Amino acid sequence: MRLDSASKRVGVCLLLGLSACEGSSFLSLSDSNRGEGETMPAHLLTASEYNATVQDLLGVTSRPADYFPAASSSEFDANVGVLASLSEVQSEAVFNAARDVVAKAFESPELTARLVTCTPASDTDAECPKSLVTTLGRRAFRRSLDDEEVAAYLATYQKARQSLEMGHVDAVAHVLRVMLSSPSFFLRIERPGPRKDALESAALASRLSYLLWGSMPDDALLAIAESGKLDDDAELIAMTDKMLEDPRGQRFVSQFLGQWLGTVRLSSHNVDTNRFPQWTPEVAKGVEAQANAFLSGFVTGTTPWKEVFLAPHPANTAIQPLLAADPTTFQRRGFLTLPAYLALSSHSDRTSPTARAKGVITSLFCTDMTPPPGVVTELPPEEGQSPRTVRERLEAHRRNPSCAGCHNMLDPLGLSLENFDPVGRYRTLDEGHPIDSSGVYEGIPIANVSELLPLLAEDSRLGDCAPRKLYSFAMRRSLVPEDEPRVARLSATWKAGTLRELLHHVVVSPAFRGHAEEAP
Amino acid sequence: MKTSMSRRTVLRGAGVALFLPWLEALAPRVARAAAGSMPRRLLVCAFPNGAPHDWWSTAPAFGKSVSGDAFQLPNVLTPFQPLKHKLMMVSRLGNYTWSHNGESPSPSVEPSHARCMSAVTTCIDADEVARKAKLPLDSAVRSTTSVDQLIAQTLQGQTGLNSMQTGLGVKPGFFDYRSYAYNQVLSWKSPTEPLKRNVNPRVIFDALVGSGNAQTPTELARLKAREKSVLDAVREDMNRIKKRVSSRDQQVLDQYLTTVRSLELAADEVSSTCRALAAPGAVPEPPGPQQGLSQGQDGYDHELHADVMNDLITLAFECDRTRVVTHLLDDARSEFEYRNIPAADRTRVGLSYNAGSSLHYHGSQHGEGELADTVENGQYKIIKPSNRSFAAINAWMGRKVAELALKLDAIPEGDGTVLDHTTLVFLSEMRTHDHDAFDLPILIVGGNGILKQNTHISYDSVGNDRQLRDLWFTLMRRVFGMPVTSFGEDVRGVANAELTEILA
Repeated sequence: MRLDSASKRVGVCLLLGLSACEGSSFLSLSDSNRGEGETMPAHLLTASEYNATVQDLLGVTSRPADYFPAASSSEFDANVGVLASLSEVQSEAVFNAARDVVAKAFESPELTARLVTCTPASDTDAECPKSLVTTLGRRAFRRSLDDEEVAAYLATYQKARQSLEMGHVDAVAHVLRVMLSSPSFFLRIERPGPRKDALESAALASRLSYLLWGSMPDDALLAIAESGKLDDDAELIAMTDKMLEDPRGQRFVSQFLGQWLGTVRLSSHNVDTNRFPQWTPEVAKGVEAQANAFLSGFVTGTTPWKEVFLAPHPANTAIQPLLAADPTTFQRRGFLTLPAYLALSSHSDRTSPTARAKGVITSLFCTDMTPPPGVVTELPPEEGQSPRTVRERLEAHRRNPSCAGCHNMLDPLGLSLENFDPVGRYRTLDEGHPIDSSGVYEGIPIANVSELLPLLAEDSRLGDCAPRKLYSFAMRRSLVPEDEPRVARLSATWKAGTLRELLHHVVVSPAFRGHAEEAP
Repeated sequence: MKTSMSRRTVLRGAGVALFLPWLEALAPRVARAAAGSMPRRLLVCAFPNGAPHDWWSTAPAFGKSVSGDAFQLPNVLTPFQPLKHKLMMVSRLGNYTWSHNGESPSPSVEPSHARCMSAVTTCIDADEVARKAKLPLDSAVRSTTSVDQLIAQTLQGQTGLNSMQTGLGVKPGFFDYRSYAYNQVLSWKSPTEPLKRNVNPRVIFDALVGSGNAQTPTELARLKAREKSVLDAVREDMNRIKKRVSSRDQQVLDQYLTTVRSLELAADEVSSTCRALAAPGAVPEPPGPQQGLSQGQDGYDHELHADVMNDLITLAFECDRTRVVTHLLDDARSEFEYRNIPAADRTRVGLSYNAGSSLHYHGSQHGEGELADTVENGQYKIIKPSNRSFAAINAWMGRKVAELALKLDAIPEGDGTVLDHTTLVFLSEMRTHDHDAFDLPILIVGGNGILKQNTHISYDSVGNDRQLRDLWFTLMRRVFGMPVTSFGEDVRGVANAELTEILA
């Protein structure tokens, strides 16, 4: 008897307990922002945002935040719920980083000249210091400074000149250090706007730039946002496109897609190179470049997301050693047969069909596979003398009824990818045994992965999942129950088109703009 | 001209010798020692994933103890041999009475890595705390004030740094669908403030030396004035910002303001020097689960990393910069492969040397080895001995902690050494391959003469065993003289009671 997928999922839920049910993990966040017409809670820049912001502001490429105590969240690193509490060590780290990066910028005459763009004509010339405070402050705080702030930073400058006996350049460095030590710099603080506006107009510039560039807005973006022009949908969409075409737009691919689909982990992925000498640093770089090129096609190209399991692979000569054993009759296509995915979803020395399948189910289909308490989630490494195939060991695992619920769904998917080793090379033998990549997926028998991919591509969860992920990334928080109709609307209008189109829908949504929601 | 900061993680390079500021010169420390008011320090060295069965190979039968020559160290702990007369092994303590898996408390805690590690210094179930606070388990950061922080509170203001959190986890693993706070944290300043372990020696060093490397009084005065000016300006800035934000955001700003105040205090303390130490290189914080460094990557050496941390902890105690340190030898459920372990540690536990073998920590924990919870001849029955990779990793960690203890023992203080006036607790959050939360491996060195030494004490088997919360309770009351009346939780409602057997 073939069960339809919905009732199958109910079965899994019963077996796994509530945590495996879609939507059931949405508990109310008492102090979290529900989305519409409100400011985001003040929160730290993520490590990558801090690094990029310092680079865009000062020209310093030292990546100071790599040394910060990280606040890792389970989904995206920008999850405000995790970033909104500031521990003592984090505070100290940002305070010390401000001192160090400003010192570093001012070690370079070239960077100093870019920052200190004027010299006072005399000791009483207040115009030059004032213009520096105004321009540098506006960039660092991602909004125009209030009059009170301009006066205060000017006073800091004067004090540095007089009582600290600093020269002009040192005093500007001193002021910049204070600015970078200010929460207005290292926190994202959204201030309420004038009148009934939920946010200051400049806040939209930061929402856009941290979404698309993973960094601060530039002068032009700030100016347009502060002018109010981005209130117009067409202007906002045009700006989004323009920002994606900028080289900084690549950070959207590497941050959003990289975290969602795991490709950010490639650079530190462990491979047992004694067993897989083909995985050289050059090949590893090629694998990452190919994955990013593949994913960029959905953002800056015209490939619709519904093609993610079927789209052709970008050519990459560096990864040829991994493709050498591909049968001539076999054409790699789609995300799952990228060496990047196949390696990332493997252990350093063996494949993990469960991890490979779980990646699809949890990441691309947004179906929660949290195991119930007490269930072993690891396949033990091989023991004893006679090597057994992963399939045999999995079947042993599946005999345990508490494991079977998930594994009946996972295994056909994962085992169909067994023709690929832990670095993504095609193989027909595992530990000397012939590989059987057949199975039954959702009631339909499949002989191999080529037969599976079209079935996955038809799954409606594919088009429902991406909007959830992008909405969560853009709003920097987990979804709450009130978001359900919003993401449902997004997936209905988007219809699994390109990710650029999905971005258009997200940026014009009332929640992203901080507008109060109109009555339906 | 300073050299540019490189992402290469060369740990011990040609650093400039910086002078360490501290509160009192060496002479007052000796004077204080003579006056009989010895410092009481806490050093928790925790290792994740439990111990191989070797750990208990010399344990006395349940409910018994052995002392003196009859007490032998197991193979994984032989580097402690020179300090055997100053240490005590405490076996068969559990940390599960807080556990809540369905209807009854159980020594099997799942998910074990996150929940057991978060309980090792708090002895409560963080999941249960989050559930009560109606927080989602996947992002909740909630526990209770940890034992080291309760102790640190009583030492407030006595040293420049109230406490220090160090660690060696450069490749964290999966967080069990929970916040980092459970896998990478030993110290909780309050129920909502985890103090994450810091793996970066450079940051620890900066914290130890305070705000600078002034070599002359004039330089020092200028430096202090500059720091004060920055801190003043930042404080004024925050008062301005606070007027324009919601009360929710004001709380975040207040957290920063508290730190700025403590930095101000630290800036005032910059004074005399203790001893010079080369500035160590930096080690980047791993950006997230399954990311970070491997042995040999970008010049990274785990052995050197551990040595540098040992040096910094020693310096912190020697110069009395702090008296409370928690040191997490690796993150819970680490993905690190211990390829750095030298042949000597491997052969000590019978692992034939193989330069290529991966020594993946979590993988070897799941490798061969099975310890029953049934009893045979006064011990837990070994069904399958631990695999040698798991034993080698434990032997390596034991050696690094022994080396740290020996460093502290080499510094005279009063009638004894800095180690004598430190309570060093070396323990794991779980038992062994089974990930269970009973029968924890625990070793205690030092203890200000208040604790038994040269002894191995075994409590009863699971069900009749005593709990870790009582160990922390005893240490707080007896070693640190704190009037605590309870610590940790017990779902059965059992009150704390001192472990009188561990007292000298």
